[in-house]
Amino acid sequence: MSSLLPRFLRHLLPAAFLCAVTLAHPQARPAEKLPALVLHCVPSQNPAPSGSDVRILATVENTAGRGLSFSYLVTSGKILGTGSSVLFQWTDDEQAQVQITCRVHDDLGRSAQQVFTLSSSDNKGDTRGVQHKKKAAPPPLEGPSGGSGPPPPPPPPPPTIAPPETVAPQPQKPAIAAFPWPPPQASSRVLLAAWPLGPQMSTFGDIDSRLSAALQPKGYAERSYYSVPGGFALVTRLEQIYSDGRPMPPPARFSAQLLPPSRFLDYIHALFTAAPGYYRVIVFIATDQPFTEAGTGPSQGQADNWIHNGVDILPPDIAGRPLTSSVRCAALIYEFRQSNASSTEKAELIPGIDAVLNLSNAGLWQALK
Amino acid sequence: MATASQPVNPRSADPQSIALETVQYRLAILWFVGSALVFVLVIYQSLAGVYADRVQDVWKWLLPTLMPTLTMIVTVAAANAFKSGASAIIVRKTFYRIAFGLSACYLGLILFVLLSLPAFHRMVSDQIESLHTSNLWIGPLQGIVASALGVLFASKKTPSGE
Repeated sequence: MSSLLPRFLRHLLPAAFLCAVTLAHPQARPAEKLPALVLHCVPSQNPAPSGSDVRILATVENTAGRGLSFSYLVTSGKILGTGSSVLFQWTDDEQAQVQITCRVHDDLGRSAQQVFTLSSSDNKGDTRGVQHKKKAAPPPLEGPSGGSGPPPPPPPPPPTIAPPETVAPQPQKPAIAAFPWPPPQASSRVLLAAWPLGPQMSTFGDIDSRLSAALQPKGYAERSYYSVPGGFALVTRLEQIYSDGRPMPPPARFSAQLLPPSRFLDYIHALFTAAPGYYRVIVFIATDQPFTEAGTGPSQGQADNWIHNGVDILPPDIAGRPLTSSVRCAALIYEFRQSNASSTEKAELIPGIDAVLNLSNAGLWQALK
Repeated sequence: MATASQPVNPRSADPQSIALETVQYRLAILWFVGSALVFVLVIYQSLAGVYADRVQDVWKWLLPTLMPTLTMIVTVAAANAFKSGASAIIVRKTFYRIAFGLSACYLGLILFVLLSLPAFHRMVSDQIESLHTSNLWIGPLQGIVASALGVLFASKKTPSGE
């Protein structure tokens, strides 16, 4: 026994361990091909009055939680700020249109680009065109009597000047959906107490910018906006998290299914403990109205649909609304637990961990508080 | 010539042979240690709730894969315990190595299947399905291993061939 046991341990145990490590290590599997980035750059208004600032919001799909870098090129004017939400400022009042190039790339080497034209709504070019055409127009025809007859008929109405082709058509104003009000019962919530008292915040758009600036680097590229009484709600996509609130690494993070662990420690955890799935949706509500929560919480399916039913940018009429001293921003956490016993079991809303810990482990608290 | 009534040292008689008792002892050690590893793992997983409400399905799969061989080993060991003196029965080392290798592969395969479950499936229902699927390759190997061990643990052949 004393001589056989070490021999056995020498041969069988290392082999079994190697098998387990090989299986569990993500590099042992074929690398999953990540989809290409998809960039959407949307100005807050187009056409926009010359001299006014135009907010440009860039959203990226298929980020896989990777760090993103944004860059902007303009043929005129200047870009203020960095990241996914920037301000465009006109520098030449005579400029009728500006071509803006948005680019994004991540640390995996993927990149995307979108070019669009921002037009001035002052129609200075049109005015010049009209004046020019008026000057070039032939003099009104006189009657055959040479002015001695009855007064000439009134001149025909001036010809309608078609807008120049370069002016982008007015985009249809998206109808923003209303978030359930009062909001459904959440797992936890926290009032971002220092908000929106910062000196740099004057409109709801500024709140959105700050939220977006905090969310974007942490992989929350997909967001939806809803209207709420006295403000707006920003909803993040349903994400899979650990029980302590840390987001799962991609591709499991934004997968609705419970995927096998991709990291060795997660594998060991799944080998020796029950491994239910935890999901989370964060809803930021900026409003001047005090609110309570409704009696029942949402199902996971309902919370998952919030990202699809909202609009992708904050509409200008809400973004431009000035802040009052009563406006506050709260974060509501909806946390769900999905049993791993069977895929047919429904996920249930759970109390979960408190909102501050949730936001901290999501990497948002430092940027938001 | 060695006979059953005149025990000889099998090692000195033929360097290509090995005493059957030694073979049985080594195989028993391999099987008990390997099975203990598997049982400890599954017992812990059962207590920790890894398999949720499908614990019975896991044990239904596991017990038929190990218990027949373990039972045979214990039975033969118990029968030998009542015999006096050293047995002169020998076996070819080649066959002993084959039997030992097959046993090690079989036990390793069972451990491998259990360890690989969470690596490939997160849902317990999928894991149980994988266990049933693994019978496709574990079953034939179990038959071969059982044949090899059956010969070794039931062999009565002596060096003289009597």
